[in-house]
Amino acid sequence: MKRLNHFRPPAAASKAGFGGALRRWAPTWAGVPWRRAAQSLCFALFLVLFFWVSWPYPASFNHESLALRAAQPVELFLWLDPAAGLAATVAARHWQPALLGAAAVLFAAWLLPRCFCGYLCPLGTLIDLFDWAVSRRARQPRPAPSARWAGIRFLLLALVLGAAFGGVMLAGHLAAIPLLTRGLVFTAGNLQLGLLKNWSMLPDFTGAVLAGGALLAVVLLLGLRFPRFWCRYLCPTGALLSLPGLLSPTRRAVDPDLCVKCGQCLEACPFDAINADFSTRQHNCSQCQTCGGACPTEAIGFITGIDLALTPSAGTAPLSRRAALAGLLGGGGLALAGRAVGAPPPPIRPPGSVPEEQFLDLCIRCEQCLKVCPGPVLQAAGFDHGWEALWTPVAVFSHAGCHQDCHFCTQVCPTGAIEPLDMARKRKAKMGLAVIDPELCLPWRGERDCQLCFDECEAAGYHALEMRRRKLPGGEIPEGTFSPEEIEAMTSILAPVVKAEACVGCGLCEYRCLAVNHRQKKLLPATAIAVKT
Amino acid sequence: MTAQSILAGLALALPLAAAPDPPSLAQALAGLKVPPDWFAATAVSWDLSKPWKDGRLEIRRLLALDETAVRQGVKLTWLYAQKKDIGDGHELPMYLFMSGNYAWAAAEYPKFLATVKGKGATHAYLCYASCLQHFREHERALAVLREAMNDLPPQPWRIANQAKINEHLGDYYLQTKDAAKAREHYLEAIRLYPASDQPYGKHLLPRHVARLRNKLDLLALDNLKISALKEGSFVGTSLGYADKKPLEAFVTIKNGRLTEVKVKHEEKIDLNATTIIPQRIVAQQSLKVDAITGATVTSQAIVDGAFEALKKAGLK
Repeated sequence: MKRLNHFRPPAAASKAGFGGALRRWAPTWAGVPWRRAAQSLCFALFLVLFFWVSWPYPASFNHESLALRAAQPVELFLWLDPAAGLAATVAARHWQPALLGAAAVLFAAWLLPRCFCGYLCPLGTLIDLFDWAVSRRARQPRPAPSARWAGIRFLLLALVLGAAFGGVMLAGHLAAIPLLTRGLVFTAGNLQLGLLKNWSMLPDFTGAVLAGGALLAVVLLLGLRFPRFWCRYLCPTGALLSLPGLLSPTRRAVDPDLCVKCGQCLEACPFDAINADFSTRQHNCSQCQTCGGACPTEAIGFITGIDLALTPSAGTAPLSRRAALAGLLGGGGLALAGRAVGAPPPPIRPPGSVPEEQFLDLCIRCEQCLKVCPGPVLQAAGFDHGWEALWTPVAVFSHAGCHQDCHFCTQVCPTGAIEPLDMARKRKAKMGLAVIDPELCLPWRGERDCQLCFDECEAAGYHALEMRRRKLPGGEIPEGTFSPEEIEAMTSILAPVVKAEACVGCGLCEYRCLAVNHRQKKLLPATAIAVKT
Repeated sequence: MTAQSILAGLALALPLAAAPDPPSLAQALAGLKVPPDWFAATAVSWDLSKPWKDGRLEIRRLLALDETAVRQGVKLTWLYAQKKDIGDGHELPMYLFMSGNYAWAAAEYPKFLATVKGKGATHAYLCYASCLQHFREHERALAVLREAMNDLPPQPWRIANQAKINEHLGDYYLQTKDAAKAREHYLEAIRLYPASDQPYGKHLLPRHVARLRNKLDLLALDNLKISALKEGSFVGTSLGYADKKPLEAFVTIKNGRLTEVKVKHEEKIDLNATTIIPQRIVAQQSLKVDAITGATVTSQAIVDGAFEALKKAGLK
């Protein structure tokens, strides 16, 4: 048996000086400094990966500087979300690297139940921050709700896993880390783009963007009711992490001889993990030790060992067997019902995307690919490509073309929905095929010279367009008025032709034609060259 | 804007710009022998009984090949002319001109032009003027160009040819170092071309206008003396890669120097062209700076914007 206490009991601190001030102004920093330090460190790392490493506009924009960024573990925290990783594996029936992270975190959750939630999770830390800044001031004291509320997150977990078994990915919509990254990409990520680049670069503000941002906002605002409301009652990732904890050799224990039943621990616990009799709800406890740091009599301890002598905490099942089964079946049923609805034609996916059916199952909607996309080309789908495609990445060439020197998105997908491609393979990965509309194209109509698409394709090095001479209708011209060259020029024009074998569907041509001929010069009602799947 | 396109445009006006000074027209005409001696050594393997419409195609094919073939083409033209089977005859001097026999062409053109007077043989006038300029007969060339202007083809080809003659007049004045008159004629051509109601070949009109703008820009750049510009800050706009707003270039001129170029833009990926190109312009005191590889569109847009700004500062 081993004591794991790292909290600092109130008695240990002096009432005066820095320690006293800290206890008054930031009691949790005084009570559990190591936990707060770990949280801060992880959150800082998350922010650096999200805002700095994932920023696709390095000072010198070329494939080396981008590759350098892409080589860093941008998707680290996404790998660590076990619900997303597990569901992606099950839904797509496809082994993938995110499982390793999930396994590591689940093992850690056996050693130290829900330690991810208490120490590592950036969403949890953000909720704590919001709590500190807003919620704790606005919150009314309320009695804790029934312990059964915790069952909701297990029900949600059962639902999303059931859906995964049915072959539909729903876990990404609710799992903690993708929910956070998605919400941030749609809010702070766009703010970063507008402030550091320019506001015209922001992707379209769609319902999908609004919903993704609003979901994160709701998660934070729920803190107005109870601290860590999301983590206590709703988070399916937390639910999955609770499961190995039920068999854990690690426990919170209360010494009945020392406990004066003052209730300080109940008040301090952010996870609603303490019963009225001061015993522990093992599935809720994240070993954050906040209660230890609040207990005036040092009655609380955190112990581990195979030979646990103290009474194990009350083993109330968080969710009845019947409810769990109902959740699983409900999720599966939902998946089957959804699949029965015919899928519309697939949108243009990022380069290196796996086939559409598998893509929908593997993609956890973390929007990390959107964050690292310069332009940005990638935007989140709404319902226009079917309900299953919500929040999946779609290449929108009316906004920008896929940059020839960038393979960032292929390097950051945590579940392999976009396969990692090196620059050479990315430049051959087909996203679609450019198609010229001869009814619109200026030279095809014989209206005027234009080779914007050709120039763009040549500059990008794909050489997938060719300017071919086309005959134009002619007629009588008075002899001697023009030179033979002039007459020849009058009856022919160079028009672009797509070489299908070389075209990767990067959309550079489409964006250029749209930007210049349609938007700037207003010569065309739409782009004359567009990428089709 | 490329020097190449300018040179291509000047090719008619300056057929042998790089060659050593040719003899005077009088000397050349005095030495002209028709048919020339080299006809004897030039074998032609073409059935002359074939009609002119086949023969002219063969001649054009030959004129595009090596020197031996060009001579065969000229000989063939001459033989058809002797047969009097050569259409309205405009092709004899034209092929002589195209094959570089300027003195011979200069001798044939007046004869041909006399036969088609009033029919608007613009191209023949222009070629004849070019031949005269080749021999530095500038005043006679100008007279021929003026004559061409008074002998335009009927509509719908009138306006296009009027524009074309203006362009040639511009080239003429450029060669005779009268930049102001060159500019005037180029501007007139730019005004005329888009108004042409020719039934086909309309796709060429924007091309002509673009070429003329290049000539004007080059004219202005050659005269770029920053010290002669107005002091102050000027803004010019141009089309870059961003699609919602044009790029704006702010140019500051102080003490006869281009002291600052600032760019306001919404380019998505500019590879820092928006900082590097202005630095280069200021450092080199020139708009002829190298573009940033991979951001050529943006680089060009900055130069174009700065150029527009300099125009406002009095650049002509």
